Amino acid sequence: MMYTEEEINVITLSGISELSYKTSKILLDDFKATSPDFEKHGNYLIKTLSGGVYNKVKAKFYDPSFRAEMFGGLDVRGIECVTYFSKLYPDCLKNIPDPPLLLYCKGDTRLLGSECFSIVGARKSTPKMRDDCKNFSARLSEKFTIVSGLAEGADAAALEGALDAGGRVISVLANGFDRIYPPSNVNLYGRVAEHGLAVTEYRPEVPARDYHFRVRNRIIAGLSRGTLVASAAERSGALITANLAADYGRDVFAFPHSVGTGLGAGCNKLIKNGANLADNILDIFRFYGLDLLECEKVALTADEDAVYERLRLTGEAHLTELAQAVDKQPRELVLILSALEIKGLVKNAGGNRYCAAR
Amino acid sequence: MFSKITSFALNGLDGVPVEVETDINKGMVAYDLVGLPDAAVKESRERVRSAIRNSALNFPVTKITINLAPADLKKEGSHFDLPLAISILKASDQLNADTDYVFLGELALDGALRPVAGILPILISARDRGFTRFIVPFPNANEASYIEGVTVYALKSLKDTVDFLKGEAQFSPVAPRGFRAAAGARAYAGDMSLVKGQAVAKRAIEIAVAGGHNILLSGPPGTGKTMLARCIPTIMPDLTFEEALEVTKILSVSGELSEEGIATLRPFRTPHHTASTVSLCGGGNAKIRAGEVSKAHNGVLFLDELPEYTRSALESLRQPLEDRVITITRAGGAVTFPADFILCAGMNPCPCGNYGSARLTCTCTPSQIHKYRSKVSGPLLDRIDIQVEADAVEYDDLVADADEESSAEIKARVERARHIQRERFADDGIKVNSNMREVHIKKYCRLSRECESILKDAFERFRLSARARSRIIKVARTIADLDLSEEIKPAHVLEAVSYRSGDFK
Repeated sequence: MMYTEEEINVITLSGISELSYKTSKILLDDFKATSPDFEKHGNYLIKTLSGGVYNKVKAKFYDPSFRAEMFGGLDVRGIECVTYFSKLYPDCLKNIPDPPLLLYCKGDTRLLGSECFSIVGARKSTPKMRDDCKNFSARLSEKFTIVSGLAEGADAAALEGALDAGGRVISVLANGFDRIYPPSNVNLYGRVAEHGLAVTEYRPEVPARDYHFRVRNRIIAGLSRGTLVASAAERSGALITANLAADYGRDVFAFPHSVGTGLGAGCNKLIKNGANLADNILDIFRFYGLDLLECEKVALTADEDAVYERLRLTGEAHLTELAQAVDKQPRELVLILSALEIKGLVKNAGGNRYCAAR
Repeated sequence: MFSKITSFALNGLDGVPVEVETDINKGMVAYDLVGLPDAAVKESRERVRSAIRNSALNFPVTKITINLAPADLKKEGSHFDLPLAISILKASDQLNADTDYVFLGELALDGALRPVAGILPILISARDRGFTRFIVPFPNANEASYIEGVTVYALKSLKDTVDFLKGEAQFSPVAPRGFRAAAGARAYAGDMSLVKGQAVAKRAIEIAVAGGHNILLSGPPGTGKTMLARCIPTIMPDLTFEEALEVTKILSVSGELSEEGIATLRPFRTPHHTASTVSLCGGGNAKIRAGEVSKAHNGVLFLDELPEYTRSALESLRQPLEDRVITITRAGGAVTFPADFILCAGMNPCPCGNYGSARLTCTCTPSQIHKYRSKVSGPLLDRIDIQVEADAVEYDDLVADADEESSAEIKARVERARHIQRERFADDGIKVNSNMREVHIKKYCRLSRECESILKDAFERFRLSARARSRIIKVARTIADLDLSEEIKPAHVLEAVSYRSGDFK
């Protein structure tokens, strides 16, 4: 990998485990300098880090073997670095108060320059919530690069939805590339790195920590033009992302949830506070003045159409309720629902309950 | 003096003839029993001695050598008491009579004959080897009465036996009994009409029984999964005499046979989820015993809370599910038991049980749910053709007195479908649709272009595996059979596709 002088400075600085984001930023004079000025900030560093560490850090920074080892390690892992001073570093990230010094990237780094939209939500979720997330993500990925985390639940659904639809995705991780979290989504991470882009602020060997997620959320919000919160409890990481997005002057959307849905309380609170309500994909597309052709009508029989319309009207319904509503025997209805499921219009929500998927 | 008496030992479900040879000679007082007897057989000395004395006969006080031949086969069980006693009496000149019988029975100290396990399989193997005359304990008479072509005397004591052999007392042989009489009295505890609602699950069970498919019922706790499962035997076709004998053999060697002497109801086995692998599959060292899979032969094996079973126990089910027999191999030899059962598994959708429920909130984390479900391995799920969810029961359903179909009505449809399958597979050596292999699927499950396209769409939509495809086709075949339809129609395929809730979303 070829890097410019400025990039090498930042990458080396980020590779020193003793330095925090804050001290690195001070060393770079708040991004005004492209190389750390150890003399100028010596006193500050000695005060905060102690003299021994200061000398060690300084020695490390100029040590050619440390640099060789670090760059070698990045190359071996196939990691590409995009620094604050790189051409690929997106402007929208530069505009936030604490822009990351460096993004370790795996995948197509050009996606950083594309128009991004993030979808975030809670880990706990119902099949219906995940399906909604997937569907919105699939449709939004026609116009945007979808940005999300890698957590189970809404994040994973958003990434999967876009990937399945052949769209572009960026997944922002809260850990280094050697320590993928959660381990259950390692396969998804692989898909993202192959067909999209995975980025992280953390050196490869750094594991995920509680506080990383909050810090990571600023990158998700910062990269995106808009953020959609699919599900969020009263207190939720997704709300942090939404609040940051609002602070950065980006657009916030939220799914409405019905009364008493614990996993939707946070979304409803956002809407109360002025977020855009999105219960239809058009809500988002129209907001951005984008044209969208109505989804193509799949050929349906009269029975299928009746059942599908009913489900769209009522939301989730149990097989027996639905059978009464459309005046069919449960046994006939099973066939209709099965056909609709195959056509991708209806989902089994568990417990013999069905809901419209689109 | 020397004598030879015939008895039988059990090896799995097979009886093996054993010669009891007794030699009485002058010498130091001794009693040597050789020929690999187990503890129960060795201890017989004390029982035999007391029984002989208490029957007003003499136990010789001299050197007694007894050999159980063949000498390399391990002899188990207390049923050698009677042949040993007769052999000693004959060798000591107290019984000069025709003893060309097969003797089986345990002795009490007072000389009474006690019942023993395994009479039925021994009688059947002995008959097949050409033995026709038997003396068994009186309490085993019922069990013996179902075997044709043999003469069985069921006697109450050693004294009776000696008198009978000498011709001093007359006993009539056990009268053969028809199976029908016993079968007529059969009645299961449950009935489908008692299960309210659950239309989807009931239909799935009907299909499962009709085609011999394994079935997985998932649903929140307390929805009646167990009650549904208990009703499965009530809609299965009646046991035929051959099937009943197979079931009885296994119960007989396990010592679990009821008073009636023959199994008339299809077995319904519910091993607890703490059951060990060996207790499920069978095993043991000296004597290889049948496990739950064999005790459920011709019936239902119900595993409630499937993910709670140990991994090794569940994995061990794969082979019997595939082969319908289980071969247990130990250092001492291998034994094959039949294991042709319908597996009915029950599980909650998640550890707390409320996942997917409309009213209650699930409190499990995604990783907990994932962990819970991944305990049931893919290969095992692949052998469960029908996966269906039971509904959470609403209060209204419980009190509603909507007319539910009775087991008898469902059973009539099942029997029709089974009849169609019997005729279809007459030359194929299989019984039901679930036993079909790829070649049978090719032969009997031709799909129209329309069905093929539905299947293809379903494949792409749900990302099904190749195994799932044959699963769906087999179930569609059964649904068509229930529908009395020669060809598989789109509706059958669509319904079959809907029974795959185990391919978790």
